[in-house]
Amino acid sequence: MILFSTLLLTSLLAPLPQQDAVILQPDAIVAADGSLQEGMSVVVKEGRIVEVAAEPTTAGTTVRLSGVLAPGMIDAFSGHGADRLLTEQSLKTTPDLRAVDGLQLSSPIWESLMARGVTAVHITPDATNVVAGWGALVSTAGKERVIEAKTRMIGSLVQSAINDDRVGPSSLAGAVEILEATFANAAAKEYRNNMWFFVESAESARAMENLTSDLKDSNNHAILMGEVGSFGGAFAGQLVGLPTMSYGALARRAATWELMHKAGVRFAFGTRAGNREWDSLRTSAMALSRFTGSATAAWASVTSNPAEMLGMESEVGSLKVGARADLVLWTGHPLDSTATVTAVFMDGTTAYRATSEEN
Amino acid sequence: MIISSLLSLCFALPMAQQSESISLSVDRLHVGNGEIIENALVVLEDGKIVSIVPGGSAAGAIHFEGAELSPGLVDAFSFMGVGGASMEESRESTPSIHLADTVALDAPSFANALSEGVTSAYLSPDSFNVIGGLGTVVKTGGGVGANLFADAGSAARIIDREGALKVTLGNDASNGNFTPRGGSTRDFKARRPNTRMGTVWVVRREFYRAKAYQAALADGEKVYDKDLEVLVKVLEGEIPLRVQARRSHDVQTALRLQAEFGWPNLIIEEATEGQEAAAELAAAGVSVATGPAYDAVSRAIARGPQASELKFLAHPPAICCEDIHEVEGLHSGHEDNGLVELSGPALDFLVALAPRYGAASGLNGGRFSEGRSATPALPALLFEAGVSLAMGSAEAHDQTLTEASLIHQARNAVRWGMPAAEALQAITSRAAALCGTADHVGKVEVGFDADVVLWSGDPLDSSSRPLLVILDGRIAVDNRPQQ
Repeated sequence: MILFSTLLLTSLLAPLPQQDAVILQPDAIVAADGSLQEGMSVVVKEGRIVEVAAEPTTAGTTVRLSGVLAPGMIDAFSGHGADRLLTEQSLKTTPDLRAVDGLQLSSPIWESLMARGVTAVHITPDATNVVAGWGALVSTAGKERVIEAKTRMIGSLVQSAINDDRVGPSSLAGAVEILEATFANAAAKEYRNNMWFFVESAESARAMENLTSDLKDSNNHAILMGEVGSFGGAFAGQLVGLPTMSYGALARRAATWELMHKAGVRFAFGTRAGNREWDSLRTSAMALSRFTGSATAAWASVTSNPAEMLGMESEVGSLKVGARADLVLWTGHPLDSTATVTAVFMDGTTAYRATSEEN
Repeated sequence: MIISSLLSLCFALPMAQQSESISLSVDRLHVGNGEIIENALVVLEDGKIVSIVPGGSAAGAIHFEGAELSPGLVDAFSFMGVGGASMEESRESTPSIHLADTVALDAPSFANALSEGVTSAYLSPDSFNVIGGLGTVVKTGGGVGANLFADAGSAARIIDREGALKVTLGNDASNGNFTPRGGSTRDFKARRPNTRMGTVWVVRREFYRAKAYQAALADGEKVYDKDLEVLVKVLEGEIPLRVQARRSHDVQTALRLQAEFGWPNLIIEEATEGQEAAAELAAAGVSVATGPAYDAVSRAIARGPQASELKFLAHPPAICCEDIHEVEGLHSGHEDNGLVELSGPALDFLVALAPRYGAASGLNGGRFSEGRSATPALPALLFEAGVSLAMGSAEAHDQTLTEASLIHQARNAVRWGMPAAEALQAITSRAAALCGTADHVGKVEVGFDADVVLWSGDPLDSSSRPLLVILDGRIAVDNRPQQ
């Protein structure tokens, strides 16, 4: 039945990609709060969501889907698909470096990610320079793979950036000095309000706060590395990046995530420096759900939160009208451990379809 | 042992809640300016000292027989929370780097210091650069920490981001630098200076640049240099200049440079051999912040560790004290004074494993080699020569070395000839003066911050211990016996 539906969808969409809307009727959709809503249709036209309603008014071809339809997951910060390292260490700062230029878009990894429900990956330069370069948001399939070539400037206050014997800096203090000088430069106007800083200690967290506190309209965010329990309290009420779950110190991690959730911290999971298994975004969200008891927070951590951190919440990470129709059909709720991906729709067509063996 | 377990108890308890009002009825009050008031009622409210009534008492006031009250101790020179993150070595002059940006306010040193009665401190940048940056003044508790698992209020709190500028004369600033001929030129440690002369040359170069900059500003030129801005503030006396000088000729060099540049607000740090330059210091009216003074440093180098110096192993951080009894051969003969007598195989074992005296005490090679005529009588000798001094713990509180902690240094100074009233001022009001906080810290006076320590006896008696440490009106350490 599932196979039949997806085949049907492909055959219907192929001749009519530009003209007609397609009304997708799954058993349920995953709403923004992570709950399942039955009886809802998602109307897609020209690769965008044009309507989400129980009884859509847009005319089009109706396709019945067996399963749960969800927005694709987003890897908030990742090194997937990088052809060698995404860094240039002959300089202290490399604001002109773009991660998109180091990507291997023909790699088989993208299909593997799709098979796990990931439709967009935010590729970031290695955090080895205090100003490391531009990240890029890339879709795992589709005609135009690069959704945004210059997303956020990556800054780094972690050891790999601040302890450089060849060109400096040799310390966090030196990194702060370089960043202050960089921010004072007119060329930094383009990014100083749109930076993500890798931090790994209370001191680097405070340094970031001092650096960014007098910036107006700042969209700066932190990515928390290392022993987060020792400094996570500095980000109460904020939206932060967090490496996907690895399996050391599990009890401490559970307590850390729970305390952060209680302090109003919202997460966006990324696979860089975390667990890079293709399924790790989903398993991290499942763990977060279990540690915090909040499926809403967990689902947001792999969809709307990374989109918000990127300032692209109208484009990706939700079933909002106007957003890219990067949709994943699951056999059940995506955070249910027995659910698997049936198909991925992108650019108004079926970008990936699980074979019956995989199911 | 009892003391130790009490200490561990106070770490385990959450910080006491904000109390509206605390009344203390004490047998003696050490004001912090040398004055002593017998029998006084001290009332603390909303973080301030609101009244002091000589001879007064009140129902419900905290009272312990024989207990004496002192101001919270002020550490005039320390490295609490200061680590490699704060020292930028790719240049030898970094005046505009603020230690406040990178100091570890969550470091356990602050709790150690607080348990020894220290409520505020000047934190110094480390000494690897000639001009090392701006030190910061903190309260040792009451800050908002980032550690999710720490008690609320257990982090230090910054009260002045620009406490003083650090300059290092002597070995430290050139240690590890090498000439290009000797090493890779691709490494930034292939930098100057390599010598004392080179170090002073860097100081001169930077301050002459600052003078030129100052003149340019006065001429209305539109110039901006963040490093020189700091040096100009030093030249104008707005920011104190602290020069680390251990050997007596380093002290003399500092005074010579002061004459050259007219630094209005100079403080000498450590002055390990300062007694040999005491007359010059007094004549110049320059204050000294001493580092920890140890007994017979040179003896320790010559013969390695002795059983008497292993006290720290028998008096370790509180948390492990219970276990010591279980080690065979270790027994406590003096449970009441908190020390453990070592003998037999256990002693051999500890001696074999013990680090050198220097490492154990947090002294580095630099301070040894730069303290050849160091003497524990330094504070007394400086005082007799008319030099105003305050004391600092340097690294002592980082390692729970109670024998080097601030109060013990004052006790040692008294033992080696300093008048008790002077020694207490050197860790309270005079230290506050060097920290720039003398108008609200360092004395038990109405209107001052409610930072006080209730001691079980005379604070300078080595058997006295803190019963209560109160910081900004909150009970931060509570060692009161159960009544």
